Amino acid sequence: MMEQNLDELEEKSIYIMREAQMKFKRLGALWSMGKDSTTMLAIARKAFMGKVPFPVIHIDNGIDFPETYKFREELAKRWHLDLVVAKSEIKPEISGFSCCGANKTIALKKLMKEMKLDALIVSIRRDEHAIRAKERYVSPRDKNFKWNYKNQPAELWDDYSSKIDNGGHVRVHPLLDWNEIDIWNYIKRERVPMNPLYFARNGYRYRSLGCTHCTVPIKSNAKSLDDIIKELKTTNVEERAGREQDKEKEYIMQRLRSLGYM
Amino acid sequence: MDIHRIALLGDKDHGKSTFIGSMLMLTKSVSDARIGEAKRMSKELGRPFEPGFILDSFSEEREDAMTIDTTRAQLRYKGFGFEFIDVPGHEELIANMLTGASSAGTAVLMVSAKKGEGISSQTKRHLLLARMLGIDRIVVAVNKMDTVGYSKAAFEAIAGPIESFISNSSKAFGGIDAEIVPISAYKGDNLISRSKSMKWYKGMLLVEAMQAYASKRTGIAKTGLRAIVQGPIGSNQVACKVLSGKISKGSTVIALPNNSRHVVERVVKAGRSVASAAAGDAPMVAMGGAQGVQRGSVLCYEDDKPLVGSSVQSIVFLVKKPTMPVLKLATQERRCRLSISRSIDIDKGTLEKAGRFVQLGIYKAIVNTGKPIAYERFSKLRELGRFTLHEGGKFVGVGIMA
Repeated sequence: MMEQNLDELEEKSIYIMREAQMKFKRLGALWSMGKDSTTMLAIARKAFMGKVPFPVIHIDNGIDFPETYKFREELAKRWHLDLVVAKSEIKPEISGFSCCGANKTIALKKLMKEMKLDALIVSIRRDEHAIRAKERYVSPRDKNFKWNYKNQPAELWDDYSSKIDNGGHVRVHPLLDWNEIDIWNYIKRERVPMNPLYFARNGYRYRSLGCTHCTVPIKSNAKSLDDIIKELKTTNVEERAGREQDKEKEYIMQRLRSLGYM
Repeated sequence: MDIHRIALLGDKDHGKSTFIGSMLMLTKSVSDARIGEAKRMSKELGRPFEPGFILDSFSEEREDAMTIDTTRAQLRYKGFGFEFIDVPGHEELIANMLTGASSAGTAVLMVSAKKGEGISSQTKRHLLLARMLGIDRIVVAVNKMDTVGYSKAAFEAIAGPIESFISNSSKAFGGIDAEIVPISAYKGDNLISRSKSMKWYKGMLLVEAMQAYASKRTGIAKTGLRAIVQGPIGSNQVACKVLSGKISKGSTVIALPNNSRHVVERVVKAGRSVASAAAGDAPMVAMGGAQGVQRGSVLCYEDDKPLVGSSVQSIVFLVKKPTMPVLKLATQERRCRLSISRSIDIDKGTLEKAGRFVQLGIYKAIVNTGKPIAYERFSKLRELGRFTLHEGGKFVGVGIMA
């Protein structure tokens, strides 16, 4: 896994977030309390004079880990976040793909309409999955939240498409260039507060965090930031290997994203 | 680690995705899980293993064996970091190709030596567009050598015409570095190890050419401070991006095209006050009279200003003919008209008298913006010498200030 220059990545992310804040009418951000979206908030604080200027949204299906809820409350208070929690319904018969796809998307659609959001920051990275490597920094979604991946707008240099179809919105991806190891190097450098579930306990840790139903920990003894960085330098296992949702079916990410799942 | 970006260019089916897939596997830059997935998918679709599936991850891409949208993959090899940008070769996907190629400094141009494939007008168009976008180091990979018995004559039948096309186009775009390497992306010949089937070839391996080009720095700005203004942020402050030079605390800057003067009181980089910010930084700049500085302004120093004008000689690539497009240059936006004077002959690579307008053509044109715009010649500062054209919110073309 390649380590990139953190200052360059940070400056580019700052520029993209400021573009989004200036160009779109109402910007919001998804926050899962995971390492990527928390890092995004740490960068946003730097971009906007210490205060995240947009609402921070947690789509809560009620089955996240207790540590995650605790972390959410603590950080929201400490960073004075404008936290919006949207409850998503969870049906026992729906799991994996349908759970993250259908249930969470319904809640997000409703919330974005209520809040009149036309742009949403999502902290995805290109190295997470081959499908995500095909995203743009700013990527339009139609009114049904569909990603028309066959006809994405051109995105040359710093000119980010700002045309929003009627009823649609754009996804803004300020962390697209970052690799997993860059995130951890940054967390270490900037002392970004982190969810304790990422650190090993009894020989296991979470490398990628979802809810309690579809995330499983990996075998690991990485108890500190240095341990995690060291582990990532040598691993040949995919980051999302512990996510049920990805494994369920071929092309599942594509379907999830084209259906509007984050 | 410094990462060198390489765009993969060339016509559809000439083997771009296969090449990147093979390179990722040979350099062990991809997880076993991804290789396994590509293998499983190949089997499911009833075809021999296709390394290109490591990248082409949309279902349609795999089923139709074509790249729809640009994708990226990083690889590490002997102390060098590379990022491949795979782009679609199809004509109708040219906007995706431009998106991918616009961030690269080097290109690998795939030309298939297979019977019936060879140099096409799309091969030539990609080569010309790469040159226009400032890609000045090109590795021409003559691919599928395994299908022509690794014959030297088959290689030369491609290499000769490509060489003269490059030299023809140099009259319009200036000289470049080019290396022509015979390979088989599928079998792995001459990628990172010398092919036993092509002992007649003594030149650089593909990866060696990539390394040589990565070590060469080009496109270095020849200008002093140029910072573009994103917009106001807080009171008496603007958010900027520095394109060249440095913006320093205490200095007096000029905001163009208005020509107003401002004393810089504070420069804040990533939340911290600093003495100065340099190229690539996106600082917040507090300065006297910042209220008057709009999005689109360009900051510079008195003794070294960019060009300002409303009628500029340019080279444009047009996906379709616009009437009055919006020109976007850094954060500046202007409605403009184009008067085309000459066109580039796609087949010969030379500049000719403009004839009938054709889609996907490259033209020499004067851009008339009405209101003046601050810019640089592309050869002096790329970031302030290139622009995109939009009409009705849709991308219609791209250009450089000649």
